[in-house]
Order: sequence, then structure tokens, then C-alpha cells
Amino acid sequence: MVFAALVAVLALIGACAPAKASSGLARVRAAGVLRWGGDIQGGEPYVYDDPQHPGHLVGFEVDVADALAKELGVRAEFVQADWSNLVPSLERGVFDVAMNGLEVTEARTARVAFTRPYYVFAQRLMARRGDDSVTADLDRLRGKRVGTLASSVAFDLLRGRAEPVLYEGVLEPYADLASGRTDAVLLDDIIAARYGVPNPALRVVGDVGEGFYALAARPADRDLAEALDAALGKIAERGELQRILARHGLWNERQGRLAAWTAADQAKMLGAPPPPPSLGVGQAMLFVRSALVTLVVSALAMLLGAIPLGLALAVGRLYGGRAVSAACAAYVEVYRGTPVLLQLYVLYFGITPAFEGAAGAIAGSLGSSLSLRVPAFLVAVVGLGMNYAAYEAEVYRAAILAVPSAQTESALALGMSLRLTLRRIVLPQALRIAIPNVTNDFIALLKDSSLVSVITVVELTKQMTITAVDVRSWVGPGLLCAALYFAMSYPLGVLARKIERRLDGERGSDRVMVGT
Amino acid sequence: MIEVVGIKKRFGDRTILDGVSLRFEKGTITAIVGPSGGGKSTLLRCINGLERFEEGKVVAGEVVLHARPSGGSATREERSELQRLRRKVGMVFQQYGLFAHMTALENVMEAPVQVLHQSKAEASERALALLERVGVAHRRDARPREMSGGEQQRVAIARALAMGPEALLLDEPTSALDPERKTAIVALLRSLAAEGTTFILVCHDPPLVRELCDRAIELRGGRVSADDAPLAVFGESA
Repeated sequence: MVFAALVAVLALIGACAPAKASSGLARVRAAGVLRWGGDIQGGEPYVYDDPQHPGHLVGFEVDVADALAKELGVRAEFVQADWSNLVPSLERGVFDVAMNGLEVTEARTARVAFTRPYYVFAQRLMARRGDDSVTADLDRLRGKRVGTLASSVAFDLLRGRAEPVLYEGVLEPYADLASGRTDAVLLDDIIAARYGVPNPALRVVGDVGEGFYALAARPADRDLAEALDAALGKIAERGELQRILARHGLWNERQGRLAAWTAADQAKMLGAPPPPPSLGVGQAMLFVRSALVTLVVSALAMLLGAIPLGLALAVGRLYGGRAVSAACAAYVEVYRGTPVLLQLYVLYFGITPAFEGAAGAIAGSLGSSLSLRVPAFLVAVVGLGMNYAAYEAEVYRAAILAVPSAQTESALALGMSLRLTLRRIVLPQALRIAIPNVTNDFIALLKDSSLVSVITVVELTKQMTITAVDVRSWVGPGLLCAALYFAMSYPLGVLARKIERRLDGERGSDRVMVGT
Repeated sequence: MIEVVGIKKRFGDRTILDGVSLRFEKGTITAIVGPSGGGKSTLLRCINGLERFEEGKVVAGEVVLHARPSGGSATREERSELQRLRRKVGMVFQQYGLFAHMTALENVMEAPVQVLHQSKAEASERALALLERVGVAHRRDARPREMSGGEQQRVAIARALAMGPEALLLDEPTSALDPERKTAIVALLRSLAAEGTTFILVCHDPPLVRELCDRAIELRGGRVSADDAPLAVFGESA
């Protein structure tokens, strides 16, 4: 029944996609505005806040958009959208076209109408200086950990060859490469030039392929795509595109093709979109494996992190001296008061490398060349465990306070020490009282664990987004993902309710007894 | 013999005990009576060291518990002195405070095993004998929530006795009992006192005080306002 509701909701979402048959070009002309979508977070040189005039956008795509809008006799207007959701946002009609380093990929070709390219990029492979084991041969990357962005051409190139490590930003892949967490990074030459090349610890291995940035319109707005394609052709022919790219330091010999772009080039770029693979057994196995990652990360974070640490925090806060109590309270407030996403980020990209560096320095001073690498999986367990410990601490504190004080005082009056009283009398009862809340927190943790994808751990939700791009649809992967989360959390929920009922029953009879 | 010497106790700027000095002879049963807020329960808690006091001392044989201003934390010597005092002076609370996750027998065995390090077999044997003595041996495997108030109270007394205390403090021991059970408790305490246990109890029930106690002390505004035989203290009021 729950499943039927899910299907209905997803069907509704599908039905919301606009299916307007009206002319996109006429709509843009009537409005006098070409609304184009991008993500400022992508930074220089695409679209970014002018450091001299904050609030004013600059970038080569801003210039291209302005030039194209002028050709159409309208003005360009930027619409901010999350990069990873550019295509879904386009489909929902948030803007007329998407233009933000959007690579022409097979998966996207099937969903949007692409114009001719406005930039030809190279797939640039970078490695650490001094590591000669990485060569510009994709087939020899087997077994290497290679950083890149999800839903990029680079990711498609790497799959089945190397071990891709997926990031959500462009700075972190190079930082992790420099610190040795990965062996190489494969990304567009523009990104490599801005974020990789300036790092003296890194070297350019070479280019292993090329790709194209083009504007994407909805397939229903094909006339708009065609008009923009023609406008792009015009500004390329008269050298305006070259001037824009040159002004941003992006002109090179690869871009020479843009002015002489033919229908044959366009057909070759788009290729024949292969039929989308359906959700098969192979993908289902990937889902099960990533569900296992979700379950193991969550269980370890809860059992080894949140529960013991939370217990220590609760006891410290209630029974510790003034300083200990204040420190425990501060821990709880800081961890509850900041987003877990930020905590994971700081832990993985800030604290862990420093810790590894210090460990390496100590090993070095002892004459050892051993270097310590903390796997992202472990950082995920520690990060989630430390965050949930703050919540568990409050659960245990409430549970400890729920144990009647007459029992604690009786134990003390019998000559038991505080430590003994806690261990033998208070905690065994408090833990029982806390069971329903701890189970609820574990269910919440199961779902919060999807956040660890920001530190490159591929768990269930990340797998869902990857597969959704592969099969060109969110429905199948979304349902499968929901079903797996449900299969993991529902039995726990039932268990929690059962325990809760039993405990309530016990307390109920207690009350009756007191009345007699 | 238990002696309280010049105890002063304040909560904030409110004085609860204002220089109370009393002696309790071995094998006697003393009631502490008086209006609520007079300091009865606080005095009991001070004698057991559950409540700290600013002035005075509690003496139980060779153990002396000195005053300490509230707020500061106890030193190691103070803590060991407290534990020695509590072995000599047991306490039974108004709400009994039985350990809810243990059976009656386990409640009685707990402190002897954990504090006195008796073997489980030995502690179990003694605990059973004590439950027999207070008349609830048949409930040995019951948990507190399965027992009536009277049964719980008797288990609580057995639990306190298991530590072999010289004195036992009881906070309103008969408040939740019907007359029949009161009679049983009176008989039990009398026989224990005859064997040498000293009893100090807070009580609101004049007939019971007259029936059970050798002496009644009235606390009023933190001071002893009467100290005599129960009949003399309750003279005209009951």
C-alpha cells in the first residue's frame, strides 16, 4: 500500500514535466528575455560574481549569453540553479536554456536539444609530480583511484577502466590527489587549469579525449534551440566568439573548429543516442551493494560512535565536575547547532589530512617512510558517529533523569559508590528507557548517511543518482532506492513500536500499583 | 549510638536546620515529628550524609562526618568516611526506591555482593533469611512493579538490614499502609530494636508514634521544640 502511494507520487512528479507544444522562440521574443540557467558555484571562468563589483555577474558564458540574446533581439537574464540539477530544472521550465559547462553526453543528448558547441574542451588527466605510474592511456589506469565529477564525460570514460572517486566540487579532487587519497584526476581542461595546474605538487599527464559545451533547450522548444544554434554560428563566423574566449584566456587551436562547424560535425558530436539501458540485474546488484554500504556505515556509526560517546557525554554532563559538565554541554550544542554536512566536510578535507600529515611526520622522524591513509569510509563512520553522539547524549540524559531518584539515593544509602550506582542501577534502566528513541535515531541516521557522498563514499542515494543518469529516468532507480531504504528502516520501526508498547505497559502497571 | 552535634543546614538563604544536637541510644526507636517544612526529612538525610551541612557533625561510633559547605566537591577521605557511615546507618525511603530492574531477592543481595564482596551464594542465603524475617520470602522472585506498597516497603527494610547497620532511618514508613500492615511493621521494628538496632523515623501519625516509639522529637523552624516520651509530646493534641 505504501508502495502504491509512492508510485502515485512519482507518477505525479512525472506528469508535472511541461509538455508545451507552443514555440519556445515566440515565447522568448514575446517576453523580451532569454532566461538561462547556471550555477555560480562553478566559479571562474564560467559564471561568477565579479570580485570588483559584488552582485554583478561576469564570465565567458555571461558574454556568450549576452551576444546570443542580442542576436535574437532580447536581453539575457541569469537564473541560479544547482549544477547537478540543471537538466531537471530545465525540464521543469525554471529557465529557457541551460548553459554552464554542460558537457554533451549521450545521456543528456537523449533528454535535451543541444545547440552547436561554444567551447571544445580536453579531458585532462593530472597526477602527482614524481608518480610516473600514471600515463595518458585510459586502459592503463586499471586499479587506480581517479577523481572526477559525477554525470561528467570523464566519469563515463573512467567507468570499467579505473576506480572513479566522485566529488561534488572542483577544488576537492585536486586537494585529495595532492594528499595522496587518489592517484589521478580526470576533468575538463578549464577546471584543471584553474584548480589543478597551480598546485606545485601536481603535473599534467596529458589529454585523453575531448568534449563539448553546448546550450541545452527543452526538446519541445526545438525552434529556440535552432535559433540559438544559428545565432551561435553567426557570432562564431564574425569572430565575436573568438574575442570572448580570448578575453577570458580560453582561446586555443581546438576552438578553431567552432567557426567552421558543419552539420556533419553536429551529427558526430551528438552521435546516435544509444537506447537507454533498462534497469537490469547488474544495476540491482550495485543498488544492493550500496544499500549495504549505507547499512554498515550507519550501524558502525551508531554502535561504535554515537551510543558509547553519547553515553559518556550524558554521564559527564550529569555527574562530571563543573568543567567536564560544561565541556559535554558545549559538545552537544556545537554538534547539534551545525549541519552534519559541514562537519563531514571539515573532518574529511580539513582535519583528516592534517592528522595524516602529523602521523607521517612522526613516522618520518622515527626513520620510517610509512604514510597513514584514513579511508573515506572510516571518516564517514567517525563523522556521523560524532554528530549523532550529540543527539544520543540528550536521549540518555533524559533517560537517566527518568530513573526515579529514590533508587539512586537508596543505592548511595546502601554504601554503593556513585560509579557503582551508575553502572548497576541507573544505566541498565536508562538504556532500556532509551531503546525506542535510539531506534528512531538509527532510522534517521540510516537516511542522513546519504550525506557521506560529499566525502566520496558511494552509498544508496548516490548510486540512485548515478543510475538515474545512466537509464535516463529517475522513476525506476528512485523506486528501487526508496524500496531499499524502506526495507531497512521499516523492520526497525516495527521493533521500536513493539519495545515502546512493552515499556509503556510496564510503566502503566507501576502507576496502578502506586495507587493501591 | 548515633550523635548529631550542632547541625546547621541552609538552602540558599533559608535556614532548614538551626543548630540541632541529639543523641540516639542503641536499640531505641525515636520518632521525629513536627509541621512540614520543620526540617524532619532534611535531618534524616543529613544523618545519612545524603545532604551536606554547613556546621556541626554526625558521629556514629568511630565514624565522624564533618560539615562541608555545599558546592565544593568531596575529597577522597570524605567519600570513604561517607561510605563507612552509610554502612553503619541504613535508610529506607518513603518511595522505597527498590531497583526496578531486579527481583526482591536481587534487591537485597545487590549491596552485600557489590560493596561487601560477599559471594552470591552467601548473599543469597542471608537475603532469603531477611526476606523471611520481614515476611515477604514468598515474593523473592517478584519485581517491584509486581508487589504491593507494603511488600515493597518490607523488601526495602530487608535490603537495608542486609548491610548489617547499627541504625536504620525510615522516612514516613507507614504513609501508604493500611492499619493491618501498620501492625505488622510495628511488630517487626520492635523485634529488631530488641536485638539492638537503633531506629529513627519521620512520622506524621501520632497513634503510631505512641504505639511504636520510645521517644518523640518535635522539630519546628529548624530547632528542637520538644524532646520527650511520645505521650508527653502529643499530650493534648492527640
